[in-house]
Amino acid sequence: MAAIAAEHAHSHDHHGPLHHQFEDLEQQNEAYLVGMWAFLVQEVMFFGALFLAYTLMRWQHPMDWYFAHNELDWKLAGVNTFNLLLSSFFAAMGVRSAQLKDRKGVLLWLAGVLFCCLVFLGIKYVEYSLKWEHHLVPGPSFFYQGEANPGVAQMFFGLYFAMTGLHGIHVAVGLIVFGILWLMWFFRKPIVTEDYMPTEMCGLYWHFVDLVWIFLYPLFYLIPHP
Amino acid sequence: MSHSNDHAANHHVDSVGTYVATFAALTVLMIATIAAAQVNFGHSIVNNIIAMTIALLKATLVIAIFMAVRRSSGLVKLYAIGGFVWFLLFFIAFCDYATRSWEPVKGWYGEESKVVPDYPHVTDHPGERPEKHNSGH
Repeated sequence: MAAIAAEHAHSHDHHGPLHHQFEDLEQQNEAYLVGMWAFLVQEVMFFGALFLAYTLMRWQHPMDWYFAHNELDWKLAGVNTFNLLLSSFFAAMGVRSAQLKDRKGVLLWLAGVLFCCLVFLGIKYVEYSLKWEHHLVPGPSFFYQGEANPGVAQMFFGLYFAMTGLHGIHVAVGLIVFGILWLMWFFRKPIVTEDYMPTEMCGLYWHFVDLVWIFLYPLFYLIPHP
Repeated sequence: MSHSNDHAANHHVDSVGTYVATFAALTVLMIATIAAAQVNFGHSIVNNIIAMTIALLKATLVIAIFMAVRRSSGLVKLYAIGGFVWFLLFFIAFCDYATRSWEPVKGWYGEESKVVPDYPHVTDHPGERPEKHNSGH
């Protein structure tokens, strides 16, 4: 009994960010990282199926794909690309502040990420509502009068909405994740202030969202004439 | 907290300059993608290769520096690379599609099947539901 009590007192002393099942912080951080990367790789596979569908359709109908893509606004999406790159920079700086236990820095940089999230979703809303008004949303009201085969054009917009929509859902989730993270830093929750890894995990998620867009932007908005 | 724990918690902090330089490089590459898309290089394949090469460069910068994989353990690096190795499996799907015309089979739309049929416009009046949806009642 005494030994158990001593053990308990011992583990209590050493609590802090290190959880009892790990030998040291290095091992714990490695477990965090590998777990997060396993999640990110399955996300890559999840998006990968859509990238495969995209590649096959564009390969089979290069001309129609080019004509259909002319309906998209590459300038507006370019602003969003820059916006996401900037948010990734903010997230990296936020994680850096967390490593230095600089609470004010974290709050500032994470607020930047949240702002970019909102700008991204706002621009996406403008883009989607224009497509809706132009009857380019696949379904019964789809009406396309351009040069592409209307069936292929509908397929193009189906993939456009599926891929940018799935990405958009990830941005919205990022808004929630970073909102909660910001609040935890604001209320000085020890789970985030004593250990930078939770902030790092959120950062990794956000960089992944940025990575997907880095590929989506040229694939949907900058298609060359075949 | 012991000294070794303290050391592990702050194993390495990159400088602000590293992150600023990475962000600047990403922005320059983004402008390069947009600029390259406006140029006709003779064949669209060249444009596609340039666009995807720049995207891969950007992805490498984000993964190596922002996601700090260059400082991570071998196992984390393996995971990061594994996510891309999966794309090589696209090749198997492409083999199927590339060789479908070699063994013609009767398709859903008659003898000469197409992957996507030339179906007519659903309605002549944008915004209205097509006839078949209204005729039920």
